[in-house]
Amino acid sequence: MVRLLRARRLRLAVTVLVVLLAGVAAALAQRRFGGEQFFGGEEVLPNPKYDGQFTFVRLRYGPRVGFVSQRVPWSHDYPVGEQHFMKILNELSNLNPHIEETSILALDDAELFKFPVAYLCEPGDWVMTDREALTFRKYLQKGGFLIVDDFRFQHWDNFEQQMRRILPDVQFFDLDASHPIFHSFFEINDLNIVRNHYDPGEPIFRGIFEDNDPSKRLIAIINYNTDISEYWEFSETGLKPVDETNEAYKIGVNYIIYGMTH
Amino acid sequence: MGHLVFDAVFRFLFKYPPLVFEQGDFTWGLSRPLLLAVSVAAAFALAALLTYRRAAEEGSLRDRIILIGLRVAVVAVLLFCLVRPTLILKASVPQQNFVGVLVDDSRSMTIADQGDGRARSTFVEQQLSAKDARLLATLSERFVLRFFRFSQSTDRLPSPGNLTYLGTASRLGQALERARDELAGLPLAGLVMVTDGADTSDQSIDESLASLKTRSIPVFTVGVGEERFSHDIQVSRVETPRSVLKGTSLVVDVVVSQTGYSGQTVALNVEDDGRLVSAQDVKLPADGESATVRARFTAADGGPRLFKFRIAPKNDEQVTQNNVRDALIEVRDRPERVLYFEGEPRFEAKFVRRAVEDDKNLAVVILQRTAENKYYRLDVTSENEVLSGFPKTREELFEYRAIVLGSVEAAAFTPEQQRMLADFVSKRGGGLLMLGGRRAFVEGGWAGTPVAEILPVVLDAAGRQTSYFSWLSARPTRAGALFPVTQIADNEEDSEEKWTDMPDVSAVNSVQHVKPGATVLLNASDNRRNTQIVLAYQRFGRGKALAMPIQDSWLWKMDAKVAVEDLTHSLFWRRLTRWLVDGVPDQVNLTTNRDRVEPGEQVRLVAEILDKAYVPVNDAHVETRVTSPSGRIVDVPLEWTVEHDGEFAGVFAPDEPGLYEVRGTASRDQMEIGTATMHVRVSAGDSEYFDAGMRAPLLRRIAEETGGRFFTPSDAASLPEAISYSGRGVTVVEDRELWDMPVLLILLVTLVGTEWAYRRARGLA
Repeated sequence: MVRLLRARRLRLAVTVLVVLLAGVAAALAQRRFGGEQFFGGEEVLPNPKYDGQFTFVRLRYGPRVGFVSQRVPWSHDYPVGEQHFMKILNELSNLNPHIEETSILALDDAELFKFPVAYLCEPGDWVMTDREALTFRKYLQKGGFLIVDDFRFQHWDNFEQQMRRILPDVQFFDLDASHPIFHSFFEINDLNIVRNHYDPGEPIFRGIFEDNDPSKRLIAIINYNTDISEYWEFSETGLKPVDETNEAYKIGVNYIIYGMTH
Repeated sequence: MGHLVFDAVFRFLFKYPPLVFEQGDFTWGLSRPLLLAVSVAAAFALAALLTYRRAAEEGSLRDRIILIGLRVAVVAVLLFCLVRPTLILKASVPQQNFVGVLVDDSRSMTIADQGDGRARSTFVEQQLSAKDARLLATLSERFVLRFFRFSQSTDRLPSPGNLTYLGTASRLGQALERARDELAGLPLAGLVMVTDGADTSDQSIDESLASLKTRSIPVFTVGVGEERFSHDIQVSRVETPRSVLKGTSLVVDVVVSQTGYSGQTVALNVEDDGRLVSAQDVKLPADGESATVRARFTAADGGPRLFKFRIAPKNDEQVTQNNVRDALIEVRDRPERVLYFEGEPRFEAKFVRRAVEDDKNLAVVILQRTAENKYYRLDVTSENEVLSGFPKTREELFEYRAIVLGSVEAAAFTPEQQRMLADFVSKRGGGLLMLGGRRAFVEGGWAGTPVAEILPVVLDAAGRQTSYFSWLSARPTRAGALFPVTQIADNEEDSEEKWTDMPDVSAVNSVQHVKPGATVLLNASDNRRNTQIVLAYQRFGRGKALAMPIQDSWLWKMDAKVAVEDLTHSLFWRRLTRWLVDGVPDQVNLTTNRDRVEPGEQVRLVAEILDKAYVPVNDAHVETRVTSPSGRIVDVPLEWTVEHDGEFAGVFAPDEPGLYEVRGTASRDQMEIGTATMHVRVSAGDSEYFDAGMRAPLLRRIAEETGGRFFTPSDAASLPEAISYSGRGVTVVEDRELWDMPVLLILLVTLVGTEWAYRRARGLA
């Protein structure tokens, strides 16, 4: 009996020790190697302080982690995707954005309200707390503009489900090339571009309008069945065709200009 | 009453009323026998003095001096009587002279301030028009009377019984001139004017008085009414703009004065064509003082609107008609064009656009430079509007009524465009607002440009900081707390509190000094504890220039702590933009000398005509079409006045009560320059009831300057005598002996009695 008790205590102690060691190791790994070596991820860079300059804001969902990786869906293409995009935006326009410094903010972060254009990716894995849904509703109602990207065909249901938590009466409208968002900087007259190479079919550009009224401003643009940030990310590698990469940048620029004026 | 007692006592002592002494020339009626008598009296006096030699030995020096003094005084009185003092008077010959009696026939004469609820006109009824009217009887005994009534016009009256007291104005000078002309050539002893003196004429009375003075016509004024009411509330003044944009939230200063209700609280109501649009409590000031109340209301309906500012009358008020003032405001219902030029994609443009998009009276065009020579145009009204960027000609630029410059550097404009921007304010009369940003103010290279000259803030390139960033908690200044744009709640206190709740905004331009004459509405303490300007303005030339050196007023909407339904940002920007376009002239500007006239009164129409570059045009053809309330149309051509460039004028006389529409059209070389519409209200005025206390100083002045006298009902009984001895008209010379004045006998008896009593007291008898 006594032996059994001892064995149990020992097992508990060993378990605790293993857990503790694992925790310390993870923390150290994250601290020293940015988690990259340990989890195959990359360290999250600090957000720049608000200074009035345009800052690319990526929305974070799920548990807070200090690193990004392929296993963290909201972080796909970070930071290179947006850095490339901001570099191009800076070259093409008068926007003068932060280029190297981009932000990651949770949907219920008060700081988010200082950045009325936000980017969300991989909505198939999108989860939210009620607080996040409520806060983000206010963000959109006040004038925030959401860009949804990296959106595989089969992920619609989860996205719609989450979006209805934010805007219960939300309606989605398929856009054609006549919408002003495709003419705010570049003239984009054909939407059969930037195809998603891992799912069949053409990309679908969907919009959510203020008060569900297509004559009013778009409050969200959804790149359904496509992934334009992928083009941004790999634009310097030659992995993606130049023409399509150009289109991806053009769409991105138009989105930002539209989001800053409507 | 005091007057009457004084007059009676004076007359008893001095035999004649004071008037006789005032008008008469004093003289001595000396003759030879009298001279002899005087010599004898002098001898007596000497003898009398000699008798005191004995007394001198008996009494003290003081006794001698007193006794000699008394005796000398007795002798002096006797001598005075002996030399026959006389007053020589020029008295009117009875029934040989005319007197013009002018009676005020205006509405203010019905004000019941004569005690026991009697109106001012009671004096006229009792003293001039009743069968047993005493004053009329006395005057008629001595003079031939001619009656006149006066209000806005002056007419002869057969008798003073025919007054209606319906006149809506009192023109004293005009009345005096009319009477003077009517009675010219007749022996005129003077004019009597019975009035409360509430002259409502715009013209000075000086000229009329000078002409009466040169013709030696004295005016005897009888002031009826109280100089100051015991119980009255008056809406003394209301200053409203003549024209506003529909939906504008107006803040109007209403001056309220009162007597008898100090410290009480009353309600001030504002009505828009009969509909209550604002109500607020007013604490009445001390007696005789004025309080300024700020009434806030919205001009919600377009067209000519009659706004009334009313305080409900109290039961015991003496004048209730002065509790309401009205104002005709042209409420323009048209979209006013504003150009917002933003030099880079910025959220400021987005949120300004959202703030004003529902305002149907603001047409804000956004011209956003997205890249070099690339523009994104929003809400343009025509396909080609600002197609190639910021307007390059004055004609194109001056089509807008206001310009907002965002983060755009001076180098983006040619020197001519910069000059145009300055002229847009100073000559075209537009509103210009420069917002903060990395390309604005000094950071944008604006120092030393023509635009810097018109801005209300100092752009000091020498003190330029390489990088400036500060969070700012904007707070209204004293001026801003009451200013319609920056008062963001219904009253001052709530507004102050609301500002403390507003989220911080940021600035990248260090702007800390305003120019002399500029007004700061919002400021803040920056992170270096310097006072940073958040909103300032100044008038420059015909227009106004504003500076708002913050880069993200949109945080007032977007910040996490602002509720979704909070409309402060939108309200602020709508008001700010409306203020920018407020009062900005058109190419054709039509005005009149007054917005309300009496039926039959002439209206002077003045039009200012400007070409597309807002240069005055003198060779225009200007027509106005005047439509009466019944639909009758009269065309009134306007001619160049020659005095001022671009100014045309003409007159018409409306005769129907109601609202007249005046539509002006200007053209040159068969090309229309523009049109303008305004309205003129034709109705009986109520100015008679304002400041309606009897104006004794004016009436006294009329009398004194013409050689007459000022009377009130209490001493008007002596009026006939005063006219008689004014020395005008057909007169005879009368001698009035003074030696037998009772006062001399009393003096003599007193002196002799005093001497006797003194002697008795001192044992010298």
